[in-house]
Amino acid sequence: MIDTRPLIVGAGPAGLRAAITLSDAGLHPVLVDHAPGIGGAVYANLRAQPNLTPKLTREACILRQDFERVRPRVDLRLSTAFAAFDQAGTALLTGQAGMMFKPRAVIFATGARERIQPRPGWTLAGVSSAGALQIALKTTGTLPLGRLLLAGTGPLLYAIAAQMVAAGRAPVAVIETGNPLRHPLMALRLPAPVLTEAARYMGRLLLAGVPILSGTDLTRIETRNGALIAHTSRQGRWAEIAVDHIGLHDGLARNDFGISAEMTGQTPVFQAGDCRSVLGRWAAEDDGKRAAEQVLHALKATPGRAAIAPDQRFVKTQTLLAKLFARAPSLAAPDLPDDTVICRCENRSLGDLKQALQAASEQTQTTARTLRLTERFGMGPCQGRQCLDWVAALTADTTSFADLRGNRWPIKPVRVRDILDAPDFTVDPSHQDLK
Amino acid sequence: MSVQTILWNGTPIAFLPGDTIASALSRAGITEFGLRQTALPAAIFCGIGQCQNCLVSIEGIGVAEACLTLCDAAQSVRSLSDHRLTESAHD
Amino acid sequence: MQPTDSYDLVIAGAGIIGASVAWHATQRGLRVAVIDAKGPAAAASGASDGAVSVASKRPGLMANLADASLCYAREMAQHNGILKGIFHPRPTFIFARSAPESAALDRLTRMLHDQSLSVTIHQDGAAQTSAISGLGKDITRVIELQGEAHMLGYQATHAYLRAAKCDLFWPRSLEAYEPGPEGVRVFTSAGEMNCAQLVIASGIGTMGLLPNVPMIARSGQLIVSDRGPASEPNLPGPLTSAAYLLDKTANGRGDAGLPVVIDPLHTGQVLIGSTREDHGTERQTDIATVRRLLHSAVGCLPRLAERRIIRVFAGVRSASLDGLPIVGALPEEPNVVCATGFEGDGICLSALIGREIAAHLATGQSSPDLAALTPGRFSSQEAIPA
Ligand SMILES: Cc1cc2nc3c(=O)[nH]c(=O)nc-3n(C[C@H](O)[C@H](O)[C@H](O)COP(=O)(O)OP(=O)(O)OC[C@H]3O[C@@H](n4cnc5c(N)ncnc54)[C@H](O)[C@@H]3O)c2cc1C
Ligand SMILES: Cc1cc2nc3c(=O)[nH]c(=O)nc-3n(C[C@H](O)[C@H](O)[C@H](O)COP(=O)(O)OP(=O)(O)OC[C@H]3O[C@@H](n4cnc5c(N)ncnc54)[C@H](O)[C@@H]3O)c2cc1C
Ligand code: FES
Repeated sequence: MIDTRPLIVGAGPAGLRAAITLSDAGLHPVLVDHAPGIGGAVYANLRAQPNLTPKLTREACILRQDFERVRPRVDLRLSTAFAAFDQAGTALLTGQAGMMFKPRAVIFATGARERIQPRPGWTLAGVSSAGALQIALKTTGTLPLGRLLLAGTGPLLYAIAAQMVAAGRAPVAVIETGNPLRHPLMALRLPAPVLTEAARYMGRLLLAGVPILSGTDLTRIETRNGALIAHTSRQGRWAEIAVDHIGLHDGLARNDFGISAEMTGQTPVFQAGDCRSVLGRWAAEDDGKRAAEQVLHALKATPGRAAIAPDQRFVKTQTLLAKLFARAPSLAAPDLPDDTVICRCENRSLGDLKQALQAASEQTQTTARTLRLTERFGMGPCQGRQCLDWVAALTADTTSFADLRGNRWPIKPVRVRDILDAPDFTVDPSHQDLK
Repeated sequence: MSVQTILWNGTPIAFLPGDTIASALSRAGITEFGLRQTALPAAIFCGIGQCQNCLVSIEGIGVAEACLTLCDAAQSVRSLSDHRLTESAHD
Repeated sequence: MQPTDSYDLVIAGAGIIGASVAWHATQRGLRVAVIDAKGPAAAASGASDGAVSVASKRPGLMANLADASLCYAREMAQHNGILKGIFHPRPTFIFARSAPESAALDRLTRMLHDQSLSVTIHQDGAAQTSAISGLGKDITRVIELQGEAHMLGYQATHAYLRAAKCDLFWPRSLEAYEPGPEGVRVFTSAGEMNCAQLVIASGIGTMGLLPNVPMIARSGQLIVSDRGPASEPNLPGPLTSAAYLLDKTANGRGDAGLPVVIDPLHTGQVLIGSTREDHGTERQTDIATVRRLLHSAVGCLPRLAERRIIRVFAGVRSASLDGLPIVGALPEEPNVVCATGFEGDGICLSALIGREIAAHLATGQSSPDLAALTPGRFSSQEAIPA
């Protein structure tokens, strides 16, 4: 039998809510996540180790409850990656529960990625994204040994710092590029739930005496005597902080690499949650429901019910937050030394990029394809998720982010063996033949 | 409950149920997972399967993200820069 | 050089062919402009493998041309030549899994001998005796050739364009042209240019420009792997199935098995290719086909099963109806030269074609070797009913 169940990629709030909505309408969705449990980024504690008893927020509890109710109707495939969806309408899942099938609708709910500005030393072991520390804390209750430092910008940094404090591992400091506390009146315009949460985090940080160094850049990291030395700069004043682990975070962006409207072919495809627009967890859940309703509408499973429009409140909140944290770090800052690694996968530096631009400009201008093929930016296994924001910013006059990124599959690297082993439900089993 | 272990480049490392390879190594104080093929260190970076900075070679699975893969008892895990990789595969 | 809008030569297309013509023409002192609808290596030359291979050519003219181009490119890779560090000599391994494939290897052996080509057979025997360890059990026979090479299309394109003292313009498309007694008026998306001669090296884009030159878009899907573990030695050269040779014979490959090439890149990555699909586009890659290619590749080299695939893409080969490239002045328009239809051989032939077209443009004399490639051959067939 050909398998045509609808596919939902990502079991964060958006994907879970989409699965609940589709199941409630009588469908049997396939829900896939490459992580070993549900919850996505924000509710990663839903997959916490059995020995932990995480304090779940009310929203997380409700989401889990709702999901457990429909669980028998959902084909949940964990530790399984979504690899590809082609124009023939075939989807490829690989990993623990891989398969090939022909979903009659697809919802991408692959969440956000952290933007992390390249800095000298950001490739050292012990330097990670701040989110990576948080996910480890939420799922296993652990943080790396030794002194912790958080640096970058954006509201998530404070959530993470506060969670570290609660775990008894207060960071040495939070180094904030922006100056969010300078506009208290603007902050008061944030919706009440956001304000309450922010106040709780800030309160916890103040109580624990965690220094928040705002308007400060983490300019460089090096190793000395087995420790990481963070070099900071505030209005020309330099300082050094010795720590053992550094978490960087410069905001969030959509994790929509390899996912495009062009993928559709005949099949209805929707994006939901942070991978459509980074609006946070409440919006993500809302959006998951909305995408599911769009699917139902497209499949005519609920005649007459049009999809609801995305809620503008979430957009306003994010715009306000962006203003609060303004003075986004800009890579154009010529202070970055040329040997700063930009592309971690292919080990290509800012100097390599500048040289390529310089050489091209002597004759003509460079193109996205040249930056990829010849300079290797975006060609490594992360497929440009980490470097292309910055390459695009540095080459804005000649290339676009969309051109740099391309739209190729697999959307993440997949093992050949997994591709070959995936059972094929796109054709009648009696017709299966690999040759 | 007896402690379960994985073998990291041949050395036993304890893990708890629900630990990923990354969290088990991190608890043991191991932050560098060998070198990537470009000579930069392999280590946890994004923590959620996007950056490919944490790749290791896992017995029975192959090359995979340490941050996404749960530990399995007595499983052998090696860094990609470990040259004994193919030899051990022939043991 | 100051940009002007009047040139000895305008070349439409900055693929490997246009770039090679540009460099060779500037070496002869011509004032050259290269325009491209998108940019350098924007089409086939940036989406292909880079086998500079004689063995894969049809016996006769194509094998001779490929051999001449290979020898010339090797020269250009020596003594700080333009292709130094870009053209890499390496052995080629061609294998058989079936009787028809083995027969194709016999024909290859005869061709190399009969045409006295520069490529030689280093070893011919059972899979176990080959220099590559770990071959799959399906493989019954392997021929190791010496004298062939690898050259990435985009690297060669960039090398030629960097070294050519010419003007480059993109994005700028050739839209139309008008030959006259004074030369050729060239109408582009960014205004008019004038030149004594125009070269149309626009790959598959030539189709829209020269409707009388019949071509088909034959796409190919390619797969790129990760670098693999440090302990794993990469292949010394490409592993090519003899089914590729059969594809180019009159009877086709029948049931000889899917043609597959496993090509090591200098990064340690592996390129696995490729299909030949008529009327394909750059966008068309599909999971079922990629899986078939991978299945075939793993049958040949089982350790590939442990690699990870990081990218799949397709390139479009511009193919002529008779399988020969289309090179030469247009029948009624001696100042307009066309160079396209290289299908799967353009990287290999680029060195020779660039040199010969430049010679033709500079001297008016064209090489008798290229006579069979003239675009005129299609106009003479117009009378034949379909
Ligand atoms: C590291 C990190 C930490 C965050 N922490 C917080 C926080 O504490 N509080 C907060 O309010 N917001 C946090 N956010 C913001 C967060 O993205 C949103 O609030 C919310 O999680 C968005 O929900 P979502 O369902 O859109 O995406 P997510 O919750 O990110 O869920 C996406 C899911 O898709 C899966 N996925 C992605 N690609 C694939 C693939 N190819 N195959 C299979 N599965 C795939 C992922 O494993 C993930 O489970 C965090 C974001 C990140 C990146
Ligand atoms: C999958 C695949 C594998 C291959 N493997 C090999 C191999 O191993 N060995 C080998 O020798 N060959 C191989 N080839 C073939 C080789 O890539 C081509 O023959 C060669 O690149 C053709 O070069 P070109 O310059 O003629 O055309 P292209 O590289 O296609 O360049 C044409 C250029 O013209 C431009 N253009 C188009 N229309 C216009 C216009 N109107 N105005 C201005 N510019 C225009 C385009 O933007 C493009 O940049 C392969 C091809 C494919 C697809
Ligand atoms: S840490 Fe980024 S993929 Fe594992």
